Amino acid sequence: MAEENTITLKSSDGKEFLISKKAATLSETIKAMVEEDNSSSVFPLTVVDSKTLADVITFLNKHVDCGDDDDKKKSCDEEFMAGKDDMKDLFDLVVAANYLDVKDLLDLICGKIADMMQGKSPEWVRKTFNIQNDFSPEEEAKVREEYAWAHEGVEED
Amino acid sequence: KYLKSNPKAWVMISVGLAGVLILAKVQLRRMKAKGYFGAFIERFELLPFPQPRPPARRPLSGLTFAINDSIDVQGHVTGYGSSDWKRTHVAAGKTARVVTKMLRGGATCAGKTLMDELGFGILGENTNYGTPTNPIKPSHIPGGSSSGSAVAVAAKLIDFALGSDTIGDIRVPASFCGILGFRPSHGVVSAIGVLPNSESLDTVGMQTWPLGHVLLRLSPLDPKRRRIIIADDVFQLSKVPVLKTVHIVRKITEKLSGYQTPKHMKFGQYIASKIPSLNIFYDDLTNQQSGISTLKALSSAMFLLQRYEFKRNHEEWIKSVKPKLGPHVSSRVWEAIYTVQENVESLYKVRMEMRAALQSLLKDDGILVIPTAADGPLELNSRGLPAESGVAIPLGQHEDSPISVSFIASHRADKFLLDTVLDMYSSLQEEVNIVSASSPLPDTDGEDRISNLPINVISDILSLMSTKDAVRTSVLSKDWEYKWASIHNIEIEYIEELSVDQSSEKTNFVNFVERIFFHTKNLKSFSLTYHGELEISQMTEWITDVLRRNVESLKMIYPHKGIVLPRSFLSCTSLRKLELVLPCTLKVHGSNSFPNLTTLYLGSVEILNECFDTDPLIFSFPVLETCELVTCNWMNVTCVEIYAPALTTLNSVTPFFREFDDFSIKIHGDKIAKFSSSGGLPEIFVLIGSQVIDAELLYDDNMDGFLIDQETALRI
Repeated sequence: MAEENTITLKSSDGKEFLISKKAATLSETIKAMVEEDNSSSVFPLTVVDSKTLADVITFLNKHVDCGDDDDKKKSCDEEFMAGKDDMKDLFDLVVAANYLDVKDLLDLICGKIADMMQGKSPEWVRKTFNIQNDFSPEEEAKVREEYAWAHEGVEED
Repeated sequence: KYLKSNPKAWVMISVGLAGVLILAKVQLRRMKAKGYFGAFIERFELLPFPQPRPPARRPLSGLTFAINDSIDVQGHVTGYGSSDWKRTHVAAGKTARVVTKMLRGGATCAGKTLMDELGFGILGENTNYGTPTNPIKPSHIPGGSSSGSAVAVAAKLIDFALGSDTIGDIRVPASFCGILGFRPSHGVVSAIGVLPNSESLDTVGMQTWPLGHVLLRLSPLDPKRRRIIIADDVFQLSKVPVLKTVHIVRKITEKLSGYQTPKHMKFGQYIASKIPSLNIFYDDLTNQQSGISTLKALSSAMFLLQRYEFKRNHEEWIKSVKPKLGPHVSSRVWEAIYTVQENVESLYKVRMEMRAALQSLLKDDGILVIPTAADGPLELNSRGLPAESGVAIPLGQHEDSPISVSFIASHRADKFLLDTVLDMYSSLQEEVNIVSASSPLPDTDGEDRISNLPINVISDILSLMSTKDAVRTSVLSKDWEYKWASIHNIEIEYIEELSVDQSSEKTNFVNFVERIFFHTKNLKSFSLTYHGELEISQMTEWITDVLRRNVESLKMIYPHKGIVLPRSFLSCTSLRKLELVLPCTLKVHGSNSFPNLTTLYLGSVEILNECFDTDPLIFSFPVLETCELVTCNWMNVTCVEIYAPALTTLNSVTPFFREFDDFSIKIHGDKIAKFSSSGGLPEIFVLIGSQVIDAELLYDDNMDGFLIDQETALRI
């Protein structure tokens, strides 16, 4: 019987992960896949690599364990995010969360990225996220002026 | 060490603390023009005592301080935060000893700061003189009772402030305003010339601005090892992630020398085992063993003790003068006056046992670490633990609110406590900066990942920031110029600075909001907090625009009168959450429905019945769960009927004015479990069909002042 309650997720690089149906279907995307194809037990996720998928699965399992306890969820999330400092991992995770449609995970990572940008100068954001400034100085000055209030009181980093 | 042998050495220590922390003497925003964040009651200048001969460098020279309105200055009436107290008392004959010590140390006194009336509130609100503005977070209360002093220090108007701390009055506002607050051991600082609130608990403490980095005059540390003990259970009650509190403290103790690896403990359980006298103070008899209920019991026992002594000190005056007090302070004061405290002996026993329990836990080398206030303004009962001596230390911010932890030492271990704070302070702040700038490890491969995220993800990210921050991304690159327009939440806060010229910034602000309205399409929530004054027509136009967009959540905080809510307000059925702290007028008549509203908060709103007749005004809220009505006036109506079948929590501060004597609000709801009401007019509410489990009604009536206890409340 146990097998009926688990499914296998296959990452883009071909690794397989066993996960309970309950945890897997916290992802709306997987839920839809399972509902559509009741007979299969292996579901390929072509855009999520194994490292990211492992992270997502850790998150889903934790959330199933927490049930409806919001406080528990919060401390789980905190634990999950601790040490997630690598920009590449973070962005891989947010893309996966969006693709798999796991709202809690998406909110969590978006919150982390928002925290990083909050209160920072555009120069800092460009540098940290490698954004190429393709405005000419005149164009930039114009945009700046248009939203002048948004630039007031921002500290240089 | 010398403190133990000579408690009076406290002043030297505090002088040391001020000297150390204030050394780098910031350019204080000296008190120009008016305003001062509403922190002061009275401005005057007491110059330092003349230099001794031969001249010596004095520890406090060049520093400015202020004192609470509970501390005497010769020739000035000590007002205790209340205009009625001031009116009924004469000028002090002598300046309080603690003040003269500071003047002798070379400091200048800049005046008296605001406090909660009679030192008996904890919110920092004052009906007599107004509420000082929290400079760190203007939409938040400053905390009390030493509110003005915390504000003045946080706003850098002064270097430090003196005030009394009964149960958290120094540390709580310090934590709300992001500064240091020090409560010395009871009895260590001279309280001569300081008005008593509850003399078993009162101490004279200090608030100061942490400048941190330059540590001069660091007195030599005792080489002995320090034990740091972390109260895990208390931190679990806090909403602030432990990453921003406990982890920081742990990390620093590991980094610095002389500290043992921190121990973690369940403080509540320890207290339960060490303070047997506490067992009659549990409010929940079924749950005596839980550590949390122990902490609550301890907190309430200390509060009862404060109340008992406060009554003993001030009953006569309060009954004869019937002072004008704010709703919150008023309910606490009258409650104190009309309560006959039983178990007084046990209260004092708890106090003694608490001291002994801390002594045996901390001895002379231990520091207990707890959150300063258990989560913000709303947790009125948990004001931080009634510590022996403690320092509230700011640790950066969480979700824009200051974080604060308290270091607690055993009785009379003040010197050790301050040494420890000094030793750890700058490292703690460095770590805070590292954590808050968390992980900006730029991509080593130089790839721009963020710009290529799906727009819905970018919209989520930008919607989680303040709108000001989100809009600032427009300048990042061409690609980003309009990404921000995808946001679905708008959250704007504007604080009018006290600077001379407002007009250009105001124009910029108005342009900013207009552009946001122009560019954004799918708004779910709108929040505007505006501290200052705008054109009424401007505000009304914005409200109309927001309502037209069928938002789910609307929040407006604006202090000035004159706005009349647009009619579309009554037909905006999309609203789920509504919060107005706005002295505006809402015109209604007949029957009105808000089909999707789940949370309602109205502060200072005037509800005006357009067609006066004898029929009641009717509101139906089919899914409303929480409702708070704070000093809302009902005009031109004698009866209001509210249908709220899903309502569980109803809080109200009733108005102090009503047009018709028989005015009543009938609430039909059988799910109301929590009901509290305070304020000026009793018996306005009639609950129909509800079985309230938890009710609290506190009124003060100017005629004779009375209380309705829980039983009476239930019968209503």
